[in-house]
Amino acid sequence: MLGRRNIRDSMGYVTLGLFTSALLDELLKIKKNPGATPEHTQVIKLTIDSLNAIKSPKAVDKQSLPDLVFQDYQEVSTLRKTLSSFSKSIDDIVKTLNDICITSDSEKRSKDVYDAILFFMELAHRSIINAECTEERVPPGVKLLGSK
Amino acid sequence: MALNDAISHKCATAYKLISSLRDIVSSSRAGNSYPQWSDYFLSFCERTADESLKYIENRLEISKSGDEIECKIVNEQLSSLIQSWEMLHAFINPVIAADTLKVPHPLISFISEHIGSLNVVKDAKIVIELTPEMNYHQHPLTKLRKVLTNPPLNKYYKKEPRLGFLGLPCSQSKSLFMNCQLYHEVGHFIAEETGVFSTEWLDSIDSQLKGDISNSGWAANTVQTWMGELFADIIAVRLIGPAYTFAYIEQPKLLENLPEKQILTFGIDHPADSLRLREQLDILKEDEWDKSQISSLKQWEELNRIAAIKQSDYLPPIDYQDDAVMKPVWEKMMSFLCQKDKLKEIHNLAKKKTEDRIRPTDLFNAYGESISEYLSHGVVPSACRKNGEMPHPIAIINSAVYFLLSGMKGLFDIVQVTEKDKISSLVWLEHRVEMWCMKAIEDWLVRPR
Repeated sequence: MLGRRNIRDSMGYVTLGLFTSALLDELLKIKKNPGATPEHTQVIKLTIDSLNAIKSPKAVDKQSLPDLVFQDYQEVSTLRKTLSSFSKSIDDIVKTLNDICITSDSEKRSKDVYDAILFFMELAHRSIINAECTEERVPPGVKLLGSK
Repeated sequence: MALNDAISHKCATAYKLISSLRDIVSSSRAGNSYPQWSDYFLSFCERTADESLKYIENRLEISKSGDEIECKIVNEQLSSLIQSWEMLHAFINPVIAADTLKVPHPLISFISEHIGSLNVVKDAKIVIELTPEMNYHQHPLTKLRKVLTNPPLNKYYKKEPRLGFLGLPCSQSKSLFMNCQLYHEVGHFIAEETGVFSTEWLDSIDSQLKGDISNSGWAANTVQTWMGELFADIIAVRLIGPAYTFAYIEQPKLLENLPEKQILTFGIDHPADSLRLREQLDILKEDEWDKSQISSLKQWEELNRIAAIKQSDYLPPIDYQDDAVMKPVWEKMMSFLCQKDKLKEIHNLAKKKTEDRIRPTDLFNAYGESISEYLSHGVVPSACRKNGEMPHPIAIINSAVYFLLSGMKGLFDIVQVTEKDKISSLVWLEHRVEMWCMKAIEDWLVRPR
């Protein structure tokens, strides 16, 4: 139960869990209909933008900063640990998500969707576990990368 | 337990939690009235609860017809939903406790308008909470909003205003003067909303401390927490003026004769009071309060005395003062924070965030004397006009603080108090002054615009 701990320290993980849930919903829709070329939906686009922003925080448009995910301290650390356990980089995940939306090869799309689902399921799982057993305390005021 | 059974069980648990919270919110709203933005938040929670309940039913359907992967996803989604409502739970209860009869409503409405006029948190609104602790606090809204903007909670949230959750102790529910400390929490809100202390900055502190302290990550966190407190103090003084500083000094724990050691001692989460007051005094002087009537108060003298204490006299947190290993570590962190360039950086950040503020001194100088005159005759000061304009709440608040701290000159002579020397009479009269000022703030809020 979250009530046992400092809510502030769990919030980044809860946010990550919720967002990943929404992304998994999108991926499931594509999985069910691999023949149709999916659009870059809002959630997928936001995921790609957010992942790119981790690599180059200075290039982020300040206006879009509040909407991005994976920018909080805990979100980034959980993402990095998941990437490491899959031996993948941010670029690999961005490429997979982009390929899902642009490829005309439905077999490749099915494989990419499956890979993406496995990755984001693990990310969701880690964020849920971390929200229950917060690993790292965040000092008050620390918010986003590149937001000073 | 098979995955499908586990999902059914989780669905039932989530449904019970959310529907119970919805019922509590609905019955509270039916039986009480709430400040505008608190009611807005509670209404949002009601609608979001309905949406979440539909989401749960939908997840159950998906799991019944889905394959193993879909069931696993649903399982994670339900866990996330439950966690997000556990999080909302912590916000809902203190807001429900703070109905309009239990909070200084005009002050809260003014703070909301005041903060919402700053460019950095344009149109932000304040939701007020009551806390059983003897502390003011700010609930971190920024991340809550990110929780709320995610499905399935986002249906009603997309175009919502920024809500700042500020908590006040239940014992101070009617005070004007002491509740000026809410402005410190406003400072934390601005820090949180505008991302003042970025992760990069934390890393930079970490790398600067690395050579001196072995656990530099922990030390950087602590120093940044202290910086956040100083930042919030400076924001408060720049926005509301000495009313904040004097409310700070008048906290029960900090009364005039408190042991000197306490003023000098750093806490794990807060810098020493002496340092905090010194930085506040810097801003007050910069705003020329030392040239106003305020500087005639004995509290001003006390403030100057405390602020003049040398940095070298500051002490580490009480538990480490006799710890041969940790004491030097804390001292290094304290010296790091007290470096001139570090303090200047905090001042500059706070100034930048409030560069479009109304300077409190100007309002006090324009209205202060007249407001004191009105108060000394027991008259609600909104009647005191300059060029047809009602006095601004910042002028009212600072004038009230001056009037109260300078002994309420004249008022005792005209108000029928049977036993003037009794504490109860004094407290009663002070409360009246605060109520008159609260009424004047309300008059200003509802003035024709």
